[in-house]
Amino acid sequence: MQKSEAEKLFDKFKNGTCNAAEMEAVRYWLHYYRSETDAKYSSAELEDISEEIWSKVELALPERKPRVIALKAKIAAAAAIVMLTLGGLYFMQNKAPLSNQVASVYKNDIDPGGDKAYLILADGKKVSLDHLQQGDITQPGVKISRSADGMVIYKTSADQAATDENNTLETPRGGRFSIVLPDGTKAWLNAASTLTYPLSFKNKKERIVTLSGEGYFEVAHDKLHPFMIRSQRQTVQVLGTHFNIQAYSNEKKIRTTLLSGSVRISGSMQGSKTLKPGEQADFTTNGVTVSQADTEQANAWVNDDFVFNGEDLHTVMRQVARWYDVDVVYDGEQDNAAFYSTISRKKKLSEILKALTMNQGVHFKLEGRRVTVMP
Amino acid sequence: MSANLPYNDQQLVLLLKQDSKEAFGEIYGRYQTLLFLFAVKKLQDEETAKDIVQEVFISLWNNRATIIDSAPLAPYLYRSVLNKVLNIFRSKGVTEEYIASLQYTLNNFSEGSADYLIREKDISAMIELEIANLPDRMREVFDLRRKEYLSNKEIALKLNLSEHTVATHMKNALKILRKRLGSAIFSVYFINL
Repeated sequence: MQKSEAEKLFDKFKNGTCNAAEMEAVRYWLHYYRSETDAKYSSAELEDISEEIWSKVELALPERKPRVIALKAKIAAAAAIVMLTLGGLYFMQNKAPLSNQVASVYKNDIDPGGDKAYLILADGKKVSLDHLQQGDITQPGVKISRSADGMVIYKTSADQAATDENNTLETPRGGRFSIVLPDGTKAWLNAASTLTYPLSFKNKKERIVTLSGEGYFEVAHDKLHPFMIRSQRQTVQVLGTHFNIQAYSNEKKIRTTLLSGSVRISGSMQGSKTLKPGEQADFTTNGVTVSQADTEQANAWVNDDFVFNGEDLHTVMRQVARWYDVDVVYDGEQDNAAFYSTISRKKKLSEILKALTMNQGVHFKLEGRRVTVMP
Repeated sequence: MSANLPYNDQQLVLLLKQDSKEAFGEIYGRYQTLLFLFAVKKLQDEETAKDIVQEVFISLWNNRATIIDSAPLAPYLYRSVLNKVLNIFRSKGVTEEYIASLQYTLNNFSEGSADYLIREKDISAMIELEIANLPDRMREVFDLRRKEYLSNKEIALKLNLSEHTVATHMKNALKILRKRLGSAIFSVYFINL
């Protein structure tokens, strides 16, 4: 009987008693088995899986032996000195020179970022806010001025009609700025970020703003008009509160950290999540993960500090790139280990890099606005 | 430094046998997703499928010296995955679905010749099927890369994507490799010193 033919073959296979031809038949079957099934994975999921497997495969690839490196480094240092003596043109060459592997090189220095931003008005006009004086900009029904401590303040006149027009505050790399929105909400924008908000919240059920990059918010309490912040696919609904959102497109996740009050995170397929003070939510393609936050770290930038609490080298360097407006390139194989430190963001770039060298053992070459990271 | 290797599989195998991690990374980029999908369909178990693909690539690296130059790469990788999947099946319970499916194969595929050999064309067909089922953009990038050996830049131009997007599609393996290759060149430099 046909059915028992397959059953018998399967028994043999399980017992390991198949002959070669039978084994081929089983292989042949498995080759086609479920081949028409659709394995439903998105590109993003497949990429995550690829990366996950690679990280394990990579461990099996041979490492260079540390002792050998140390010896080679000494040779390299000696070679570097010789070469430096021989010619000053050495560092002008584009090709990575030998000595780069052992010593940091600072050809110049770069000042930290500062209060720099542009305001994009409803009519599309882009105004630099760096030197804005009191009452410099007017839009119909709105007065924009700057307070003594540097915050841009909106004053909406009482007869201002409801409008759907938006303004956008935009900080470049190396810039930060703070603003008081028409409803009294205070917002701080970190470098390379934008915040879009309506000129007036009048007649609006919800106060909706859009953030890209990183912002810290102190939202004016108004129970009847929820404050909502959109970042990519995430929406944070605010119920009167202090919190930080990091939503840079070159970070893997959107992180929302709640300092006080209450916020609700939505936009993920698993529904919304509400944060308690001291918690953070990481929004990724896989959903939202809530964990205990390091609140000091989350808004350290508002207080002009970098606080690193176990971030890897690449994450640290992305922050450096944004604040010092530099491009970061990697040369060779660095230790990507976790980094712990607090450094003032008011220091010059070379000091930050020196701190990283001491803590992380990596070296840097700074040429113009380009930082090369070396082992 | 570019991690683009516009080589065909056979050239990659030759490079791999000379210990090129970059070639290894390119092979990974070309076949890892397809092998994973192949395994996960058979097993319906994502974690086991990941483990199998991981083992296959590690053994590819460890056994690189013994690979025959002219042996086609894809069948070698597919067969490795298939054998590992078989071992999992051996330890699992037999379901009626397996029996019915196996019976169907016995009845229909060999046409009585008792020759069940999986030939290269069977594996090529399988690869085409897996690629056809990839998410759209990924599939286009894959095809151009694998069949026409285009670089990321050329693919970006052709598909009107940013080079960055193409690179992401070709997976971070290459990015990591680039980092590693930097040190490989570094070593070579010293050996020559």
